[in-house]
Amino acid sequence: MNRMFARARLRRLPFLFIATGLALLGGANVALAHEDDGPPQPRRSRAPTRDPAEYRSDQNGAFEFRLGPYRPRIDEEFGGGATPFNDIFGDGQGVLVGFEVDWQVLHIPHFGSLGPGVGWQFTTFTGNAPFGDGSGTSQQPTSIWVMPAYAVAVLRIDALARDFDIPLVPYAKVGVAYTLYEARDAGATSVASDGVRGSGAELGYQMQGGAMLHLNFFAPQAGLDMDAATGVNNAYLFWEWMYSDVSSFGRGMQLGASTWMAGVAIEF
Amino acid sequence: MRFPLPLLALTLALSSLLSTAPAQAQSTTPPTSNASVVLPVSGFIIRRGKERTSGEQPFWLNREDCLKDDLELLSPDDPRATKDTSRTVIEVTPNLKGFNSTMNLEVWIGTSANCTDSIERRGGTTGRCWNVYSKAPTQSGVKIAIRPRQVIAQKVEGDSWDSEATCDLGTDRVAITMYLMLLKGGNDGDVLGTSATWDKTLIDIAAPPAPTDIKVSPGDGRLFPDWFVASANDLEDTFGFRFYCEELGAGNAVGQGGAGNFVGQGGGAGAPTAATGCSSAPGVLFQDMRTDAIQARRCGFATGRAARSGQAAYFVNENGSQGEPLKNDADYAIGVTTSDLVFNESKLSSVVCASPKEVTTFFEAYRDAGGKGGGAYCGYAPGLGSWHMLGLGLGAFGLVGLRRWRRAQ
Repeated sequence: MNRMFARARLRRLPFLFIATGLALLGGANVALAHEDDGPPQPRRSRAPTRDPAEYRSDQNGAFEFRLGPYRPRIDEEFGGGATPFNDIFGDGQGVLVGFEVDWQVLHIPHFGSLGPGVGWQFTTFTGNAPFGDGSGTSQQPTSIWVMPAYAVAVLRIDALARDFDIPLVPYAKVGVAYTLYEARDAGATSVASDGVRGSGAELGYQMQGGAMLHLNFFAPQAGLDMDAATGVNNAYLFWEWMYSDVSSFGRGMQLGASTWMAGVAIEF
Repeated sequence: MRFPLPLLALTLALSSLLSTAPAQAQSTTPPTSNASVVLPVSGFIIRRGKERTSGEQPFWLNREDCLKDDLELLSPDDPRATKDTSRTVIEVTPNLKGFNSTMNLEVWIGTSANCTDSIERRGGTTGRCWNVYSKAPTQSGVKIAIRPRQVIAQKVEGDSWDSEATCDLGTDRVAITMYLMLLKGGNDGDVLGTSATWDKTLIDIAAPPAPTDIKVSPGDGRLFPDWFVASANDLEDTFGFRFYCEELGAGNAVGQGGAGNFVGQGGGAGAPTAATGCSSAPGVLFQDMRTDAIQARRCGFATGRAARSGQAAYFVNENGSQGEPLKNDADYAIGVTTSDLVFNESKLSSVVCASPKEVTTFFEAYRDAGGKGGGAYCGYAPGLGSWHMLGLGLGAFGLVGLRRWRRAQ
């Protein structure tokens, strides 16, 4: 055993000499360059001694606060033959406000995260009901509230931000949508002339694609502090395009939309 | 000048005799420290036909309390006092200690005057004091009934106050203090022992001003009145606005628009129009009337000081429940009042006329066009049946699988 150690030391010896020589040369250079500055000091590196990633807490999920214009494609049900939504609520957009929570089950190194997410959103439209004889518009309010909820698979590609210092995280989502709604007039649920109540829920699907701007990139130290203090790993601004078809596959009210959404997101 | 010694001695003896005489007279007075009157919060009740909640100022007296004053002043022990809900009476139950048959239990009410002071009770120098009860106590927990109208009138005995006109005298809110005292020798006597006071009652019989510029728009089985309140009349204690409706007789065309149309010029397109009169004068409702006698005509309420519009869809029953609905194409006269926090109600506004008229709501238009939605939440996605549940089950199964896989990693 001792022989083996002795051989190993002998083998390393030339390297030790070379290393020591280089170190001495370097020290001499420093000494030469700063002759008047007193005894030579050890060199200080400006590079971080440890990877900042080591200071980050575990990342398990994401939360988004989201809003955007929304107008359900109800009138598309009639193929241009009737436009009840447009007739009463006009051609404007509502504001859809909501949130989404994702569980980042799978983290793929140098690629991104994958996992399920659920979201909830809400908006309402109000107009004045026209008189039945077509003589104008009454003061009686008529409205509909829409509450889209969804469950999606979320893929976030954070390799650009992690490995290439590009503060963008593209993402895509696809899943099922389930939208509750209720049509109301004068403070009560509407009832059509055939006795059908104006409330219900429709099933469908939706797809989203967009990009998130990684805010930690602009203030890395603040990002680390935030993580240490609150467990929030990353903060983002995001923008996405959302397409949904929510009509119970043609059997109900078409509450899907094609629109954009924006908001803020955090990963924790 | 010198006093002769015998005269000085006589003077001293007489003065000592005179000085002891009052001391002997005072000693016959019962010790006042033993007498006391205590009034717990539970000992003060204003018994009304409809009790007010704690948020509705149950200890305040309003105009309705004055109008429903118990003229007979039934004893609280009289069965009629609790069964007759049309009467309002103040019931006070103090706890007495150290009293005897020579004392009087008296209840005085004052506005800014200290009624324990006999000078204030006799005439007053800083405010008013008036007596509302005086009787020798017979038991510790004596129940005292007091007429609201006598409290509201702020009048002493002998003054004229017992009429409904008293209920329309108030212009401002008045804070009062009730004094419950044991006295000896009538009103001018001193208070014996400790007295009790009650200062949680205000007299507020002043009704707010009625709204103006009443307009009304028709809806489906309902009317939508709106109104104006001048800034000077936008009072802090305004609670809301009440609507009163009267269905006009059949054949009474309304305004220029003809039967079944919105009142005003030619029926219009529904925009609020000032209807200055109905072609057939309402039989019950008229401007500036008091609404005490037309409570059965109530047909809606708008809550909030800032409310400037509302809807009338049903007549309101006496117990507050929904009564008969307003009918399409029937002619109605409608007026509005302002109500304050203690339900003092203004006189009726100007009366306008309109007819409810059928409208098409969004959902009706949607279904009429052939829309397939609706049917309540339990009827979602008709035809898909159990595929929903299968999808949910597969999703849950996938989530559990993912979690296990992640733990294994």
